[in-house]
Amino acid sequence: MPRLKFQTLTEQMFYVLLCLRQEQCGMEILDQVDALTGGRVKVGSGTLYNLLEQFLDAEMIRETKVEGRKRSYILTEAGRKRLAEEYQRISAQAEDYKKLMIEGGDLP
Amino acid sequence: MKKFAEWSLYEMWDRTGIQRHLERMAEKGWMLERVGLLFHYRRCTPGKVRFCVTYYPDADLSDPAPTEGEQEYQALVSYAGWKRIASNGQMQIFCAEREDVVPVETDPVLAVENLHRAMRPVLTEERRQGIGCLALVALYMVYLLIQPTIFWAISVALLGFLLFLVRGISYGVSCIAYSRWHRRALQAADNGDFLDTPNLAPVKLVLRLVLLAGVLLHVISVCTERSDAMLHTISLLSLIIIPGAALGTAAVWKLMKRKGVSKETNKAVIRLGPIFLGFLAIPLILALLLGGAFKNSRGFDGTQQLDSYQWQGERQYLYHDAIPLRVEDLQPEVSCESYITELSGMDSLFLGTYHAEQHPRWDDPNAESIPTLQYNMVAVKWKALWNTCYEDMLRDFQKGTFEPAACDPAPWGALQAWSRADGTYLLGYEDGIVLLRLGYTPTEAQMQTVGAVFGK
Repeated sequence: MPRLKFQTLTEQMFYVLLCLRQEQCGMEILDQVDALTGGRVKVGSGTLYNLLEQFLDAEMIRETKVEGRKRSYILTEAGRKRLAEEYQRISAQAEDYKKLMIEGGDLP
Repeated sequence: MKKFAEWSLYEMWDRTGIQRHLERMAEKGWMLERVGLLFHYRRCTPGKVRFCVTYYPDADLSDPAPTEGEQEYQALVSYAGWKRIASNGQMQIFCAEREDVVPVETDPVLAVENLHRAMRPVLTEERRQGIGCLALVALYMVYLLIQPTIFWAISVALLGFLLFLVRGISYGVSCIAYSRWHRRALQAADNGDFLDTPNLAPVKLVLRLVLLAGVLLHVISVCTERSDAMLHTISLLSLIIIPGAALGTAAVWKLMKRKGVSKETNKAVIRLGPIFLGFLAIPLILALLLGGAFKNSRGFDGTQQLDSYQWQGERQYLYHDAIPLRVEDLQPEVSCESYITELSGMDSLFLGTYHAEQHPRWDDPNAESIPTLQYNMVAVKWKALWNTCYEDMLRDFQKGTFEPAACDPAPWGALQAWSRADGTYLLGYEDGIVLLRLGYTPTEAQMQTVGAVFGK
């Protein structure tokens, strides 16, 4: 089944949005994702460009400034909300894992 | 510095095929330099180079220069360690010598979406052109079925048919292969994989070889054919006009791009250019006609200067073409000094169709009582066409007011023979078919004479 746009964020989407909690340009995002995940998550430059375009269209980010060929963006309220929802989803998953696999709990 | 250019066999959307091909070329010591109508390479140290073909959907081949967005995209990819090598329309080609550089596309879903968005206008145009080509092929087929004896004798028509057929098949195969790949690629992308694009290079190679063979046959045909001077000139011009229109349009379009002319104007040039340059052929032929290029030359002795005379206010030419069968062969007693023999027709490597005529000068006081002779000949060079031509001529033969009847072919030395009460005969020989308009019933000796001429 095709992935519904932004219903569930991929790891790459999640980290790109996370980096945009503060104003960043594309090149800075590439570096930050790498630093933040210790190189575990790789975002391709073409993929990042397309993601930024799609986030803009979905109004999850907004453009802040243009300097030559550098364009900077920041999260919008909608973007922050979506990122928070994703955090809730991942946290719920982690909580369930902890309950069943670490604490040895039973299914309700 | 050594340079080399090739006509790529890969579809624009075949990113896997192009990447692999460029990597193989780099291993052989050829580095891609730029992409236009051809892929241009320069000599380099042979080695392992990673190539990445991506697409920037908002770019356009007719853009006078890369847009800001495209430049931003290229800058971002370059920042990630990729070196921009070339771009052609939506297609962007990068390379990297480092092994550990992060791929440009790391999300297969986005990669497929992006490629599809970039290729949609290209494929729409290809589909439109493919349908146009196949519609023209259908028209040619109708003509081929209605007039096979004429169609197979016109080399330029055969080349046109082949050209549109090959283009139609090429566009069709490309559209079908892309649609199938896109459907499967979407499913694979959901599972986290980028499905390799299908390689149509072998199909394209075969189609190009077929087209090349067609062009070579046409050139041989034009150089050796025996036809009317005008048709011969049109055939010769076709060798210049078709590639000339394509190359001329490309040159003008390139110049306009360099001068920074708008995308819209460039697009109009690419669409209308070949048509406009093609239409230049019409005034050229008209100029040749009005300039008298064909006036005093005709038929198979096209270079000879002909004398003429006036009859009923019109100029009549004194043709003395060599025709295989003359009135005197059938009626040795006939003697006429004012006979004119005219041969016309056309001829390809597959078939020749000619018309021969012998009559006195119209201003001869005895013109009405002097016997005349007219016949059509079809020389079947490709034997597979014999039945088709014979059936076509028989169909025409049966259309007249006089009832046709099959007659004994033996006296004619023929394989098949039909006659009509108006003294017209259709004779099928091993190498050709003859429609003889005698206007009288021939004697056995006359039939043998005809057989000796056409049955040899």
